[in-house]
Amino acid sequence: MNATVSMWLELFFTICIFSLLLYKDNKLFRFAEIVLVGITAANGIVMTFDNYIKPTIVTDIGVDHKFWYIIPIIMGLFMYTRFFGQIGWLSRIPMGLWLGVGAGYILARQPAVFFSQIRASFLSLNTVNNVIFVVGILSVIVYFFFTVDTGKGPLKVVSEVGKVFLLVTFGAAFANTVASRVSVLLGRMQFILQDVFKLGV
Amino acid sequence: MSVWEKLQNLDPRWFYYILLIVISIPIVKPWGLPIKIGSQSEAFHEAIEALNPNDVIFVVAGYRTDSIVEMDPQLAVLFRRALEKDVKVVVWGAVDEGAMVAQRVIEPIAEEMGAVYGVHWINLGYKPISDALLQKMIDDFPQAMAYTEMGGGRLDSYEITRDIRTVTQFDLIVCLTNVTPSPAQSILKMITIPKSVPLAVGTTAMCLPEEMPYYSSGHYIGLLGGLRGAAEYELLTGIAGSAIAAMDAQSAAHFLVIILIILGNLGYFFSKKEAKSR
Amino acid sequence: MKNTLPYIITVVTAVIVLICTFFGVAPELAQELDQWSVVSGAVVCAFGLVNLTSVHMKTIKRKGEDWDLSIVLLVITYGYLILGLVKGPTNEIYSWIFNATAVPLGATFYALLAFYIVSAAYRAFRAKSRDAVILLIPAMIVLFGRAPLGEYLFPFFGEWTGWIMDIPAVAAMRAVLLGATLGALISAIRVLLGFDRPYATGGE
Repeated sequence: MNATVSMWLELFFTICIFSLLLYKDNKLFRFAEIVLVGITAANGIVMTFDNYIKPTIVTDIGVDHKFWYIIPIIMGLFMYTRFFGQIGWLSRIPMGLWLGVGAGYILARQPAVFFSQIRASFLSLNTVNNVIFVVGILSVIVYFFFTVDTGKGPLKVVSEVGKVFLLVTFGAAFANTVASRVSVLLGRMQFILQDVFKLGV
Repeated sequence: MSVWEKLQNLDPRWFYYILLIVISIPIVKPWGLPIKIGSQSEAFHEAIEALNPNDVIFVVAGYRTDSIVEMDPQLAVLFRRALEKDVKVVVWGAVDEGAMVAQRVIEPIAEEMGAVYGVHWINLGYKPISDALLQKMIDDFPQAMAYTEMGGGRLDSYEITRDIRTVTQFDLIVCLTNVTPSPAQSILKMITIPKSVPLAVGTTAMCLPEEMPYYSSGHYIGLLGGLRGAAEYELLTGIAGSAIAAMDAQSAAHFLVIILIILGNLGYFFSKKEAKSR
Repeated sequence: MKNTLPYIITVVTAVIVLICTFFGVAPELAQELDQWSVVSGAVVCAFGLVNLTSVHMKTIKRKGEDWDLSIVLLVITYGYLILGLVKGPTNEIYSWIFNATAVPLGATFYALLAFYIVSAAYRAFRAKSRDAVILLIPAMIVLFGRAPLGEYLFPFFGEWTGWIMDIPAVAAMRAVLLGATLGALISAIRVLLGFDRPYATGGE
């Protein structure tokens, strides 16, 4: 029974969403929209509460007596002071903590990725593909120089080559985006045609 | 108004109906077109085939409901192949919907193949990915992944996770992701490069260009890209799934887009020419 | 105080994390800061809900557009939230509702983009300039090459697609990546040195 109800509910919501484009903006579409917003918003909070807040309060503080974890809880609550004008500045405190931890990890770990990518770019210039590859990397880097004038002279030529590489990449990215978005629609049509109407099974 | 000008101002809803018809036909009547296998999918396949029985892999479910069509087949084939090879699978939801979307894919497969929860596979639930969490997984894996396991138990109560102290003990990490910033790149930065844990990645076609530099540099030992990548992997493993079945319809949609681009440009140039001559 | 205290917190935590992680000294200290960062971030999970509630309560009070749907939204959100908090996310009913609503809705919403792409392909993708042509040609090649039908009819499209994805696309993306990584590193240094204080005007 549950599977049947689930299937018809899925079909109903699919038609509600498609009605926006296949017909026009309507109440059914907006109803489907708010169901999605409501469920995902609530789900995000439930998952975070169940996986972080509850274990911290019940186990870390309640059972293991790590009372200092009250401090980060209070710090997190400071973020809600943004809704209250006068004391809103308190929200900067947890942001400072997150920025500090984030900056620390970036400085500690990101250089390894950076240098490994540079190392991987040093290819032997013994094949046409390798030459094109290295020219591509260098020219795109020059394209993104903003502190040097790349509008004239040899740098202009290099910058233009970089632009060509970027345009080729964006063209490929567009094609990949089409593939990605169409596949989502495919999934919906497979559901409607094969699961609901049992066609092409 | 000339034909070209009328075509330029066509109601967009016509395109939507044509798209639906064009992709519906191959779904109802598949064409069975051959699919060529790419080197990235082959590398991913080899990475999984290189595993031995009783090896343990860490599957990171870093995708949401918006990409289930592309990512579910990748996860389904990976999970099924791992169970066929007696490889144990530990799943982690790195984004809020990850654990739940993964569970709906792998639970039926596990039931069908007689895999026992906690022995052959486990879903550690949702813990939002962060550099801090990844570092903690290296230092103290049970503490990092505590409290969220889908069965509600402690990690040391399950046979599969009892002896895991650090994420570096896994034989392979497979990250299936479509979110930005990419969990695969965070895992690369925090675990793979410093601790040399091999990493294979599956992603959507849209995110593929962003992940390609890391595959090209050898950091990812395999890369599945979108529905096409999933279809290629299904072919390589011989496990039939929804990806192969969808490729005909994908072809039809691509051709429609190409035809519309050509028609749109022809219409633009001809109507411009007509306007000039008037 | 309003700017100095957050800055001090930022610098102290960044230096501790950097030294502990990079040099492997006193890792427990960095782990503790990790945990604080994670727990304090988790507490903010309801921030969006507070904003959502505030906006929709205002709509309901003044009977604005779709105020009836605002009531439905708040009922669904809080109802599902209470169910999840009381029964837990692994509860059968909770999971069933998620799988029957959020999963198809999320997928279908993104499926709408396919329609927009098709419409844009006809109406907007014009070869009006040299740059547009350079963008269009690889796009068409990759569209052909990624479709089995394209490869079947014209096998060379598959090879050309592979070449485009492996050589120029990777080269450009790597260069973009290097630039972005450099930017992230410099931003982190600027935050550490106090030149950038993104939180400086927050809450006012």
